[in-house]
Amino acid sequence: MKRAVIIFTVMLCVLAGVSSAQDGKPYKLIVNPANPASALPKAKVSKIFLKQEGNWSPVDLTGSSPVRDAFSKDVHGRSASTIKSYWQSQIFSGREVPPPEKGSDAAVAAYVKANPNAIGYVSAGAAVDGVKVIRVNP
Amino acid sequence: MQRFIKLLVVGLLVALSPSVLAQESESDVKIHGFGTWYYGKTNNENIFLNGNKKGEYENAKFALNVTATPMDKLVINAQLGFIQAGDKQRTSLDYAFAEYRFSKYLRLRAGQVKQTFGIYSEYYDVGTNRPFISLPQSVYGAFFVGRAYKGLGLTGSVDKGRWGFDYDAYAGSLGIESGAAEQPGTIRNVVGGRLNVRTPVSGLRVGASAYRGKLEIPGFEAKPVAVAAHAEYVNDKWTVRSEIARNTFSTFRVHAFYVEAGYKIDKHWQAAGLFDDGTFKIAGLPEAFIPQPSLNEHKDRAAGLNYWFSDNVVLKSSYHFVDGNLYANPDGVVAFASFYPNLKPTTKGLQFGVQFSF
Repeated sequence: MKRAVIIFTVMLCVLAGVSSAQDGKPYKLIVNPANPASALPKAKVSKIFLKQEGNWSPVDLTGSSPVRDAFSKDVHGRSASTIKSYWQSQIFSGREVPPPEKGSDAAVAAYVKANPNAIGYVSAGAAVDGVKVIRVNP
Repeated sequence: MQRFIKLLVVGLLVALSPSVLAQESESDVKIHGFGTWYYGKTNNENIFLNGNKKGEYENAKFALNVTATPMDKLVINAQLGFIQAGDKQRTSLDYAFAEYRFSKYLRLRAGQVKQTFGIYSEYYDVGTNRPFISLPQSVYGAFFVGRAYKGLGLTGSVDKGRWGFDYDAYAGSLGIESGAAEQPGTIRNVVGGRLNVRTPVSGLRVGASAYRGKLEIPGFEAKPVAVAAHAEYVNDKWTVRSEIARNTFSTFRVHAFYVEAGYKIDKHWQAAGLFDDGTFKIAGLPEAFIPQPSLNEHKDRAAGLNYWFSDNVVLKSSYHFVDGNLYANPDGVVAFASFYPNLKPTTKGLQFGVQFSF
């Protein structure tokens, strides 16, 4: 019995580690539960968050968030700072405004939960009740 | 002037405020803005980039940008600016237009819209988007970039595999950009466009622009035809931009070329370099007939050092070594084929200031 408990506990820890990070990434990509997607290619995720792909409502963490910077480097291949410069050119040429920014994982999750077309990212260990985690494919 | 300084300070505080930066309003109205102040000094009577021999503190701009989405697919954009350049001051409606978004492939614009020419024309005054306080004068000083067109425009994007194509086309009348001075003229019946190509190389974008119309300045008319090509590479460390342009109107020929680079040494410090080259020629006029060739030439070699407090606020300094008087000349000097006996063909200029956006 004791061995079973130990094995069960170890399994729980392993599963928690798997669900808290996608392939070792420091973030999780989340969508509304009504969204049929289970995975998206990285290039498409980048376009969605740069608002170059229609019918999505992306949401970012604030610029100072290390998770945002990690997401930006992984998905866009650029730091959050470089992406901000891109947004400045878009804003002041009247072309587009950046996605809304939220100050916490919980706020991002709440936004995604409330918007059928929403897509966001939270830290790897964040609670994801009420939203769906999807994979980012290479 | 005092009210203007207060606006500038308010804007700077807003840009530095973490609470403003932390939360983006979810309303259908978004407000952004940017500002600039700088001190400019030259080593002789030539005025360059609003810097003079005495040292000029009165260089500032503040702009508020508003975007509203009153209904699905309809976006309203407006930007209001306040400019101080030396003893000249003006407010300007940078742009105000409605955009109907049929799809990402096709958007219709109507109103007063920033001209799309080259890299910087649409965000001409946004200093946090470039390594130097001022733009390269060969392309952005005069002769090429208009203030905004009043008319209709089309814009959109097409993606093909790893390539992306962003296009603009417009028609209307084009105001001529001239800092804080009153608009000196208009280009009527203008037709123009730009194509940007996002290449498979991450951060590398190339493009071409062109326009033609009928230039009307009091006492002068011509039909300019301007063409240009540009390339830009941006990654986390490097910002490298280059443009080449040519404008032909009446018997005048204007050529421009620059290469500008910024390198982020670390999170805060950035080094910058510029090579800028412009010439003004009168077709058919032999060189020997030009009394003072320096009036038709411009070569600026500049180096800069910037400190970025954040992505939204930067302190910049730059030193310019300028050959030629096309853009560096005393007040009242008219360039082209004139003669001024005491004109200094070489100018050294210093710029120091702050730029911010929010």
